[in-house]
Amino acid sequence: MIRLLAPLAAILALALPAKAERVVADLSTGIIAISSNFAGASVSLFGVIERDAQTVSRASRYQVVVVVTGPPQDVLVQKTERRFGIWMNGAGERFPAMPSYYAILASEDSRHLVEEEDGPARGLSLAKLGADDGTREELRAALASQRARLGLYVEELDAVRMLTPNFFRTSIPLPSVVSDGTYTVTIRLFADGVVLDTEELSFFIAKTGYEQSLFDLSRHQPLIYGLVAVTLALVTGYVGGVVFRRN
Amino acid sequence: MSIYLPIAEMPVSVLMVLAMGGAVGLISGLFGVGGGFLMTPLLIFSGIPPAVAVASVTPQIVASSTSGALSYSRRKQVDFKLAFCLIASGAVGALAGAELFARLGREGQLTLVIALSYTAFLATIGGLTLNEAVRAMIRSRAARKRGEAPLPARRAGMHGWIHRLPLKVRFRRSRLYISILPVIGLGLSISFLGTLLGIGGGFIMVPALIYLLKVPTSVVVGTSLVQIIGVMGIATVMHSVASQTVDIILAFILMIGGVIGAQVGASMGQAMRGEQLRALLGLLVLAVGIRFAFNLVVPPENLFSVTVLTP
Repeated sequence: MIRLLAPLAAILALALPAKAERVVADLSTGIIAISSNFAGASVSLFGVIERDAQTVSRASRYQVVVVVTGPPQDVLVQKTERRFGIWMNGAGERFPAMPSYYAILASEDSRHLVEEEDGPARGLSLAKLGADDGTREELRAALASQRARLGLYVEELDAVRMLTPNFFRTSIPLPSVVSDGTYTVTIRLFADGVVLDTEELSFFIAKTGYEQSLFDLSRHQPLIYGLVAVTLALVTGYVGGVVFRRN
Repeated sequence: MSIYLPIAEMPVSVLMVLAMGGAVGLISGLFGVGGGFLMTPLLIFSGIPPAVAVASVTPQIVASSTSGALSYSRRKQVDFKLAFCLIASGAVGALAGAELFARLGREGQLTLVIALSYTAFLATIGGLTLNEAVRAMIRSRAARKRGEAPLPARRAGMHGWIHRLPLKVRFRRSRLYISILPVIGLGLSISFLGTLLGIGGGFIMVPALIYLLKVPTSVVVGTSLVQIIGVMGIATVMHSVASQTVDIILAFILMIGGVIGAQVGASMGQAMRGEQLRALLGLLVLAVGIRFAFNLVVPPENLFSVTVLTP
């Protein structure tokens, strides 16, 4: 569907008058490999704000809000309660399609856009991630804080640096426990509390080498994976027995 | 030096895992036990997800039992028919154990069940072992004071009802003619527990074979080792299929550490007396059980648990 609509959108975009301001951005890398010594990574994002010739320059400054979303996961969150004298998990709540990674990075003077209750970027803040009717707020907040502790949910409202009024950079911090898959980066340009332009980029995190082969095997051919594990165990045990045989 | 575990999806220090494998291997060589009941808790306490810990220890147990089983088999101290019967019934127990394990994982209750089972189980075994060893020590000391040779511990009485059950089968190497029913029961229950908790179960199987089925002590250990290889091999495959939590890399590092540690432990063990060893083992098992109980009773640092259902 999207593929069919894309050319149409392109034609429409040509027909409409050009937008006054435009964000052009790129990432330092399109693919991150998880290898055996993966200890986290950081992706740099650079962008410029382009203004066409007719647009008069603004008195106010531009603000940039960047949101990075990792592949979705269904998550079960449970509160630990004391029952019969021991601590056990309650029934809990399921949160479908929660991002496995989420970062909101903003330029210095855009704090109010995100933090104020009626701010135009309020919906992007960590406090709103996964919130629906508010009945399970406690569990939702617990999930967010657990992920924040692991570095999987990030809210840094001064992480986008405006190097000049029209040129910005930031870096996306990825901890060692990130999931593999496609990550989308959405850059929103604000001025005077209004979105002027949105740009979407993506990068890919992939396991490589034996990590990838083993993981794929365990998911797609679990029976063979199990048999490989048993064979490895038998061979290791046998070799160990021969090497250390004392008689 | 750290290495990324593809199934646990986290980096761990190779040296730490190697040292844990080595330490448990040393203990298993020293005391002549499989060590699964120490390895799994150690991994859990060091931050490996319980599901991955239990499932990855199963192939490690296969490796650590293989060399022992081979040397018993060379000395013809394995009753293969009995081992086969135990494994065949154990397959059913392993299937049930792996299925329950995967279901508990989806419900987010696996950690609790593992902690509860380990507490109950280790406290009982540790207490019994310690009690028996201390009694034996007191007995031999008293006997020495009286200037007599220490009396052997009293053997448990014949369990007549077990020998009156129907469907009798002959096990030639064990010189037994007994009903198949207690064999099936034993194989089923121990493999169910072993698959669920990541233990080989040799330390239940050996006394059960001796006291319940009257298997001669000369073939008990070898037969139990072969049974452990069979059941833990099946459990590895079942866990791989049902919950996909077997981490081969983790298991392999543990195997290497375990094989080396066991050799050191076995040579150390020859320098120590039987009762003292058993008392030490009892203390150790009890301590791990108490550690689990502690976690259950003390308010957790984090009141919420998060389980990822679809990676």
